[in-house]
Amino acid sequence: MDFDDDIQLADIVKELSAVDDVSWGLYAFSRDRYREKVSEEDKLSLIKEAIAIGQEEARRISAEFGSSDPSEIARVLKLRIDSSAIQQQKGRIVFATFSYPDLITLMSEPISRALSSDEVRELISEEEIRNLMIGHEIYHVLEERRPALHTSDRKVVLWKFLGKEHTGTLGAPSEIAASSFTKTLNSSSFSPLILDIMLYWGYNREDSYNLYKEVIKFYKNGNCEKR
Amino acid sequence: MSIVIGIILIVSIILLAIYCIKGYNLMVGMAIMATLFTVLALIGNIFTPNASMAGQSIQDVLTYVYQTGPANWSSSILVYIFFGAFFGRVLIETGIASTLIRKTVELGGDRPGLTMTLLSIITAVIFTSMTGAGPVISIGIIVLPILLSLGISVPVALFSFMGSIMAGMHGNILLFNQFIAMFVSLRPEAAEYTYQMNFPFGITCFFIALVIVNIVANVALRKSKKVRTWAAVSSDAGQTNAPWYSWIAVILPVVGVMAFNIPIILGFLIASLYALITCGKIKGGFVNVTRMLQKQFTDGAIDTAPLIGFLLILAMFNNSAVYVAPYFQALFGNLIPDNPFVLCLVFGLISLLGYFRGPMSLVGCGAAILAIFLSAETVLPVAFLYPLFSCVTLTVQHLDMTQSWVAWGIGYTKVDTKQFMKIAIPTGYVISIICCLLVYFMRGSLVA
Repeated sequence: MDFDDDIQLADIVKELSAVDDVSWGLYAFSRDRYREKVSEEDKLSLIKEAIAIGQEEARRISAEFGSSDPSEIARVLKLRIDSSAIQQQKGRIVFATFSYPDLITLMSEPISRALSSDEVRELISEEEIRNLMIGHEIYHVLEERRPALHTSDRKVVLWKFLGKEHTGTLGAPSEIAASSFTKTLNSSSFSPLILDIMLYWGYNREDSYNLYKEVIKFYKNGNCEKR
Repeated sequence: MSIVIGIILIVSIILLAIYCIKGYNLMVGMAIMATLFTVLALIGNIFTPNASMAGQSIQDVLTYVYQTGPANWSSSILVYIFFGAFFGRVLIETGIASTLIRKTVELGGDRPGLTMTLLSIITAVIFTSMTGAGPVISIGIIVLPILLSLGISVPVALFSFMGSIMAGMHGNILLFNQFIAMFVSLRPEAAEYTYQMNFPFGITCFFIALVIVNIVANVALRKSKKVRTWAAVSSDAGQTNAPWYSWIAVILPVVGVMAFNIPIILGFLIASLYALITCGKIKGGFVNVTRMLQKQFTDGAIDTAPLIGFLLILAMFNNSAVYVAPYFQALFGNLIPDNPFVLCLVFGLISLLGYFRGPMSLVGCGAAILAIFLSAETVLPVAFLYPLFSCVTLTVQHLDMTQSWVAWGIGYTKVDTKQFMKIAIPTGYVISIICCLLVYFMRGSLVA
């Protein structure tokens, strides 16, 4: 179905809430710059592994710090949390950044724009959005500080010359694990990647709807294949 | 009287620079300046006959500024810009530009510095044929997120991208035609100076700019902090890779002009056709193909519309500068050095004045300065003056906030403007000085 003005965000979100983590992983993989270099089989394997690592790390960190509050964990990890006003860039909306070694920046505009809509406010609170974002960035901090987390060093062969292989690092496993981490940490019932659609809605409903269609396509294809 | 008018003109140029710095509309600013220059010249002519107005009525003067200026510019340059914009749209819509960028990223792999350098080279090559805010934005929304996803800081990523475009502009055939037209309006024999004649100089500046931009960007990269970003990105799932043999379309217009002396418009059309055929876009019947071609041309025209509006007014300003040249001559005529080395050195040292459309920028107040040089008693050859003026403008203008696409890049990346300018201005200054000295070494012997 093509986009029209009668489409409600609540209906989209309801449908997306049922989407499994692997389908969200495929959506995340579709943004990886080396996505064409990975077979579908390897993608699924990497996604499942990243999801498991994210979940395990969230449980470990909650147990170690005695808290699953992302702000509290950030405080213990001596991270600075800042906010910055940022506008939409064409075709791209930044939600949060992690600047090495210790600065998490949450972009205030996507949050405030999203929450200015009654539709979004009924679905999610500002605190929930912030916690999901902070949790996501905390995973990247942990990834940097704990080499045992292997999600940021998954290589793929880009090209070969005279028998020498040139490799590149996939970004998607790290992002998928970060989403899995913050989902588990925040005991969220849906994938944090749903924010891509919810927060985009405040800028461009049609683009947001197109993102939704992409996710649903991965979900339906996955169900057909019975992953 | 000539001295008084000369001083008023200088004050007006300073005010224009302030106007530019404050970010007001340049097209309107240039229209005001063209009118001010014309009125001052007409007033001055009442008191002391102005040699450039000899035998002309007021109507003739007004016609030359407001009619002949834009009309001549349109007939000689506008067509190039439209066809160039059409070609730019074709490169984007066929996916050739984005495929080249994706393949470049694969070539670089995990080394951000190497990938940034390779992207810089490919961007510079692409912009030897394309110009306009539309193509820059279309390429920028591919390149900039890639650079940022590699952990490159925003100021460095933006500088690398804009610096690469600047390097490409040194070999850009459309800009050559645009600038040489300014010379022709003031000295008709400048029409004999061709792109091919300028090519050895332009391409050397291209490499100098590219090397310096990449050295600076890589040094800045080492100093900057790595950043990871969570962003929602709209889909590009439908985009397929353009076949490898289509990629040469990017350089076909320049190759056509240089190797086969093909007229540039035909070059753009042949390259566009080649790109469309090799990418399988000529399909679906005659009506669909014509509709698609019409759309590409329309989109290209839209891409360049703000630029064209500004340049049409700039043509009025250029022609008005002819009439005020005697007053500038009265002030500075004797100050123009006749030693080519000194002239090149001075141009390099004051090239900073090209920022914010200042008096060293041909797409700013520099049009009036050009008029002084072209009407000076010391007749300097176009083959010497063109490289001298153009290298400064091409360098500083394309790293300047008053350039439409630089302003877009700043807004797009939300970079701290000061951080960007701290890298861009000194780099542009160094490149300008080196290019000006290059003029002496390559063309200095032409000055008697």
